[in-house]
Amino acid sequence: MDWSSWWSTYSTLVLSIGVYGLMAISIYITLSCGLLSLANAAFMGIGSYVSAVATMQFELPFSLALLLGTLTPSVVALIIGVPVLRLSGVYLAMATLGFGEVVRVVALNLDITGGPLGLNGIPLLTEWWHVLLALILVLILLNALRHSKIGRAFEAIREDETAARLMGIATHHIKLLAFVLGAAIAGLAGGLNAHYTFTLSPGNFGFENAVDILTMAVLGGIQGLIGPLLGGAIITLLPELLRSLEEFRMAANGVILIAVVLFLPQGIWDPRRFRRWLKKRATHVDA
Amino acid sequence: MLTLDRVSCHFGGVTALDQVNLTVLEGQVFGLIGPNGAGKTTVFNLITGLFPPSEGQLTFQGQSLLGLASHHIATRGIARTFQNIRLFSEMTLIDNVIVGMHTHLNYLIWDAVLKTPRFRTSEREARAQAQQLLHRVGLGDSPLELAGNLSYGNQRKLEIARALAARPKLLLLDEPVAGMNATEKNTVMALIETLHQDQLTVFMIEHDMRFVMGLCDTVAVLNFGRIIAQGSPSAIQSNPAVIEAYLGQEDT
Ligand SMILES: Nc1ncnc2c1ncn2[C@@H]1O[C@H](COP(=O)(O)OP(=O)(O)OP(=O)(O)O)[C@@H](O)[C@H]1O
Ligand SMILES: [Mg+2]
Repeated sequence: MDWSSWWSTYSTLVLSIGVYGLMAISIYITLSCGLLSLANAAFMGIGSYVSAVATMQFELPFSLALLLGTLTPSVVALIIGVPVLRLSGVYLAMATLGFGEVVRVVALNLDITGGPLGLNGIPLLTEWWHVLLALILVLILLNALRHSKIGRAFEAIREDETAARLMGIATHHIKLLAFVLGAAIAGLAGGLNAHYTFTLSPGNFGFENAVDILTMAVLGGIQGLIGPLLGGAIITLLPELLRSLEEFRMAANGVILIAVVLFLPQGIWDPRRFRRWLKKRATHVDA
Repeated sequence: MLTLDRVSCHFGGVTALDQVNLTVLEGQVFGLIGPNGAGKTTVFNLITGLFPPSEGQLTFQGQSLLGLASHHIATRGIARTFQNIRLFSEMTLIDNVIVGMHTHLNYLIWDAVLKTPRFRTSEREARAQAQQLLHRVGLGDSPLELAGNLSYGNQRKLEIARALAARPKLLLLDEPVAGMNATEKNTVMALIETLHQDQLTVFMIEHDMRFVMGLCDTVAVLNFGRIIAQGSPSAIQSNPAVIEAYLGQEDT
């Protein structure tokens, strides 16, 4: 199989690995701050619709459409974040899922989003390098934040919010920042996603998607940026790799997830476990 | 420097503090003692804004603390340690201390993203200062160890280093030597003496009488939410009401 026919078969899959890598990273940000927010699928949906409407109906350039697809969910996150982030734990998870339902129902009933039929014939503008560039920029940004007072504040809040606040950290601002940043990245991923899948419908961004995104991050590991990327790739590829199992596919998918959670509770990519392994090996060699 | 004026605090039916008056003067090492459940930790929780008092006034450097969020109180210059240690146990020792410096790192997000000179300098200085603080509390040898791996006594020392990192004007220590052996107690005692020489105001809660009497210039005694005595360590030790309150209590 030559390159161009390989690409025409697998381009959607490759782009999806990148886009879902972004999604897993978007939820990793809130998780790293101790927030169990499941709003990212909805933010992705907002980004998708806004950017698709921008290119289809307003004929805006793709770059501007992506920018709008990134900014709109960020603004929404800023507005809903103030009341919603007072909640924590499962209550936050419920509230953000509820928000996702609201977004889905709104998309289902608006004319501009095409109602239940969604949008069809979205121009195919996303190139592989757009996704790669988005990933690189996001990784550079987050890596810089991780090694600054912001990243340390995220971690401090996750470990002990009260202690963090008593160290002078404005915890509610920092949590809002994490929420908005996650929304921005999810919106960007949505804009990229819309312009290679050709169609969009409200069902794409519902409960199942929200749970999938969480699974990606947890499976990959949330000790750093590599885990979510890996998780995103695995969850995107797994259904394809298990294709030969046909109807047992979903069951096999579930079994793999259970196994990972049981045996690798910190996710697949766990630097601390790797270090322990290395140490063990080193002592074996010494002995 | 710090005054509590007729402060009361009720939890449901429980009166944790009842009309408490306290004044901590600048440069003092002030001790608060009292039997278990007397309300000592509650005093610290009110000062640091974890919850509001039911009645009364709290003032720090002439300004009311009422209605201020905890992180604002911290930026005013009050830092504390916790009776039940609250470190960031998955973080390294040095990162714990640097979190304490959060409000003094005044670069913006963009500085961090673009790695501007301002970002680099302030991070480098923070790291150096944090290392010095670790040395000061006797934990300078393994800055990259995880806080959760430390012994109990060393965790308490790390909490003090983290609190000092905020460069407070008033340091609140809640049972700083609980669970420590005699040697560790002596190092903490020496540390607090140097802090005192550096003009830091220290307000501590402690059960260890030798420690309190050795360090504090004024001691207040809390019993069932009320201040029953206040004065110099020697006056407190011979105060009949205090002896009464502690009667039958061991280890005091
Ligand atoms: N957040 C709270 N909610 C309800 N009751 C509380 C709360 N905090 C403290 N109390 C109650 O207030 C009283 C005083 O508690 P506090 O922790 O201040 O005592 P303490 O003097 O620090 O005791 P110890 O020496 O055991 O640390 C206790 O009866 C306690 O149960
Ligand atoms: Mg106490």
